[in-house]
Amino acid sequence: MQAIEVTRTKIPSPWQTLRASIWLEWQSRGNWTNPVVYTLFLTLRPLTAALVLVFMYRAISGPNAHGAALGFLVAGSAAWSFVEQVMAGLPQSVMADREEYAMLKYVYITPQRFILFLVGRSVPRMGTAAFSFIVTLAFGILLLGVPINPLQVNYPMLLGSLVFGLIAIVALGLAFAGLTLVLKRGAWQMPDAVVGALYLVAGAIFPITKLPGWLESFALFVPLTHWLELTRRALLGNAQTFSYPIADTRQVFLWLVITTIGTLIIGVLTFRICEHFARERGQLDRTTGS
Amino acid sequence: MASSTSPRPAHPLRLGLMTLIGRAYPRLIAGNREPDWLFYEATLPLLRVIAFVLVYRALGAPPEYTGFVILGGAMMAFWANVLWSMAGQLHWERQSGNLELYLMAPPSLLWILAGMAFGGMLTTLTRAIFITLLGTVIFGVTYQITSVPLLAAVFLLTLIALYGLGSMLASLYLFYNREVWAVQEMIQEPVALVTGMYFPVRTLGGLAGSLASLIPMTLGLDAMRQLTLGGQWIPLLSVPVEIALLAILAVGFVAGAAWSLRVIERLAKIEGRLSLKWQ
Repeated sequence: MQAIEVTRTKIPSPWQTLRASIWLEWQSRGNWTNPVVYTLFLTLRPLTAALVLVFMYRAISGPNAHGAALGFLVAGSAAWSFVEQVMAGLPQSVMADREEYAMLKYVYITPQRFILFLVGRSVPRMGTAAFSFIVTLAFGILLLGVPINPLQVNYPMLLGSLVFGLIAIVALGLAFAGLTLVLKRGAWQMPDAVVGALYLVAGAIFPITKLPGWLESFALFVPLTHWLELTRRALLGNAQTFSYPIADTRQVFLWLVITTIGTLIIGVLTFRICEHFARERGQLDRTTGS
Repeated sequence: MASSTSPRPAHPLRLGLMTLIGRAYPRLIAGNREPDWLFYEATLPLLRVIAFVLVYRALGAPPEYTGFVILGGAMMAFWANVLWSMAGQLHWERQSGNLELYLMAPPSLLWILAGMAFGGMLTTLTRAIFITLLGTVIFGVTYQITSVPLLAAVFLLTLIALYGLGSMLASLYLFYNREVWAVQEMIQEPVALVTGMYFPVRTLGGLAGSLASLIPMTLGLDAMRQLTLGGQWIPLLSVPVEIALLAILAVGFVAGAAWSLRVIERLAKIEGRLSLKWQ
């Protein structure tokens, strides 16, 4: 009698999971068209969002004005690509997998960690956001006279703040991806809506000192606020016009690190709790039709 | 012996109106049944509007610019509705398998789109009113309405032209699949730019402003701002000219939608695109 041979299959390593999810996201995001149209797709939205602010500025300051406030607006708008692409993108990917392609349950039953799969899916979005960020800034510098000198940019500060900013953005994306699993209605609108709210709270396009006192205090507990401020300080140097509640750059960085750690803990916990409820209630393959 | 009776076909107009009401019904009911729309579709978009107002305040803009942004934000709700719930709708219906049912039903697809437009307009109107009222109260904006009938005419013509444009796009999207989502994302923000959603469209320059007038929102917003806000800003054209152009656009887009829907539906049938999914 022939014995049944049992072979032990290796559980995929985290790197394999990451690699597969990065490739999946890249394909699902970009293989609907050719590279030229895809580049246009990546740049048109952030570029025109920045241009809206430029024309608002020119409506007030005159058609040829290009003062420091212009740099403030363009830098904030360009950096916001990361939030739109990654933070809003992660929950949208989960929704598309579940409702449009009906494949979330198959992803879920594979021998890998779902949270790692989602982190992997955010990586191509970080790349496309970085591309949008660079193109928007280059457009601003070359054609709109935005006062940023690429030779005087504080690159270590820019990259250091970006690392922590991205950790916070991914953590928030995970939290909202978890929420989409349990929401009955509004799951499609929720990511964009939250991005819109943070646009206000984090002072993406205006100084947070313009917010009411209580909201300004709250903004200091949002890591994106400090990340945007450090990005502006790194890009604009002394050309900053608007005030910030914390003057010392090292203190701003410290605030960014602390609030990022807090956001990471809250984000992962929120995701875990929502995931638990979604499994308990059988919502992982639900179609809301919303 | 049982006799087989075939139902008498309804008069085309009656059938069309019944279809319109039938398709508008879910828009109105589903859109308002749960109060969470107050949060997702009115309060959170308002936060974005507030951000733009604070930009103007940081730049030291005159007070009428606050009204500019609030009106723009309210009209943005209509543009988002046209884009995502009109233009993209036939694509979503195809994804969910409803499009075949629509095409098998006796009424014209145009009546179905008209129902979606009617329901969408009324539902979005509640969001727009909410954004305008709350924005006005928060920032203490005062309006100087010079003519209510003209304002109503501009508003109605803008909506008819906009939803006509949305219907045209809906038929065009029958040729596309996954690209639809990307195209929608690509055109949403540029339209906010070229129509002067948050600034006087004249700032773009005379030529760019004139070209942007092909999108009904440009003329509609400019005329509504002239009729409601005072101040020293320079409008694109005079209100009567903008009304005349809006009327032309409204007729053009509605007729264009009827034509394109007929032609593209036929072509999509020939190419077998009406039931394609996930391509």
